[in-house]
Amino acid sequence: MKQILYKLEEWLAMAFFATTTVMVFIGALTRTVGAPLVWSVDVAQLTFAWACVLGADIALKHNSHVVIDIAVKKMPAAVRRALGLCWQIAILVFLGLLIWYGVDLTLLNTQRSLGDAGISYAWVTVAIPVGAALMAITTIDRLFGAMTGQQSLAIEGRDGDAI
Amino acid sequence: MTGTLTIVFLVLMFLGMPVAFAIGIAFMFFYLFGPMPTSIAVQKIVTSTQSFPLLAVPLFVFAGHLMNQSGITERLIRLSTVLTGWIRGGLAHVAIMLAALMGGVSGSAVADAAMEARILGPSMLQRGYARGFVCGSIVVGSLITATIPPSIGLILYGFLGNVSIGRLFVGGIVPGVLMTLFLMGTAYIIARRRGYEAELERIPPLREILFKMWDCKWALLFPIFLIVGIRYGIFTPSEAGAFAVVYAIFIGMVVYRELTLEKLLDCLRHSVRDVGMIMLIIMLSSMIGYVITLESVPQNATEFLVGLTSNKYALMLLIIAFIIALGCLLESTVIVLLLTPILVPIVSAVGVDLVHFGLVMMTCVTLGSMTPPVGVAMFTVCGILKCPMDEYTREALPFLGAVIGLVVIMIFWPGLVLFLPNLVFG
Repeated sequence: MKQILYKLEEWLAMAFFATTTVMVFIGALTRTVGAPLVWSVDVAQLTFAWACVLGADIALKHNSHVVIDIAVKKMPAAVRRALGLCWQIAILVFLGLLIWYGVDLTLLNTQRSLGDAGISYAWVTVAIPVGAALMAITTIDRLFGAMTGQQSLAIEGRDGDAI
Repeated sequence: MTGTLTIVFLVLMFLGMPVAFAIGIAFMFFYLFGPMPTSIAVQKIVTSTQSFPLLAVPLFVFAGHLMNQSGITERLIRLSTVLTGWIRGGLAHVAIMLAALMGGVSGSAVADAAMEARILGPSMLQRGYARGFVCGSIVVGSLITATIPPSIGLILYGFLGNVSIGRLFVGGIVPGVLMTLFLMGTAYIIARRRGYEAELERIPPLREILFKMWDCKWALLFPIFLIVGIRYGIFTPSEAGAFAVVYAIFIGMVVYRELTLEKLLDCLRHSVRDVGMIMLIIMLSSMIGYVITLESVPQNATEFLVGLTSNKYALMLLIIAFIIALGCLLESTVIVLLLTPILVPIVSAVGVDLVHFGLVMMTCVTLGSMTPPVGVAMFTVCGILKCPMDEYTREALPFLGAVIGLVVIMIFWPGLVLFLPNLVFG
């Protein structure tokens, strides 16, 4: 079940990002030939917001968010576990705040429309509380995993590799 | 308040909280207890995903993954071998040359370093090169990839500092070529001292070199398409990213027939994960922007630094020393995101050209992922080739020294960097 949901999330994220790419390309192409599709940019930005939040959750599931472990590495395992637990809870609270205020903002944004596309801006805004909720579920799952001893919460360094 | 929040952020980060969340949690306090309504925080996060210029970053990340799978890499290795294999320490030069040629299609130093460590690393070790030397030449060599256009680091800098990405791209060409020469010179001196052999017995005939170049035409032409396209307004940098993706797919599927649908989806899968990682940092650090503007941090920092010295060269040296020191501890993306908005007003106040500064700054920021004790490119390559950190450090020092030497030359000779962009863009 967990596997299926994960696959679904990954395919959705890939579809969103692929759409972003195609839309940016089509936007450039149609402008060059003199018949610009104005909504292509809006669709690209809408799908990008979703690709970002889903990608962020996928990266969280893979533990691939950047962690600086230079100071923590030297600490005893028990301290690292305790810190790991604290951080998971702090992240959960933070994500809770994002969900709460994100829903708030989404409700405010229902009237605003995205560019010229006639789509409600709320479709963009709602990506944040949804993404935060997904990451919260991932975090809760990790906390449960730690309680039942299937997962360790000890901090391990992870480095991003974009540049 | 900025000061307190920065301390909270630093404490959280160094105690092992993921950097993105350390930024988010620390600066959330401002929106919870500060003068702003809290939902502005979410507003900021949403807005950061809705920037068209920023799309260049994920698109070039995707294009980089694709180029590596399109069959371009193997052809570029063959070209690098005939171009540089006849020099003493052959494979080290091939690695450095490959980084330069890959630079024209890929924008990520770490991706290039990982690829080279897998493909070239084992054969270099087989030739009897010292492990640290192999890692040093691959890791520091990959800095060239991040300098020659397209460059993801320069896109981020241009986006955050509001600097023309086209100019930055063209500005990267001369430093990239010089860096190639500097690093090959360093590798030659070491190879000579240790008696490493050349890969080929003599310089290959011109015919063969031209033949191999023709084989690589699609990769070699790409940076030219890119710059011509941006220069003549055919596409914006973001659209150039989408163009790069389509170009890589076309070359890989139609011309070289090496990119399968399965590989394409795999590239997409990896890109989504990378994009999620980078964008979470970008999204959450967008909360900082408001705070530092409201408390006029850039102005205060400018006043402070210009008060120390208003000599622009001294100021740049000071900033660069700071960035290199910071780069030893922090990850490159994080440094660009945090420092660009503060540093750009400072250097423009003393009259430094922002393209010039961008090249100098991004070279040093990217160098941060190659310097111990923390560095992504270094970890990746040393991990793949099983090289102990102290051995890497010892052997990478001459290469790092060569790069820092070049940076100093770049600082004192702005024309070196600015000549080409001024020529191309007028």
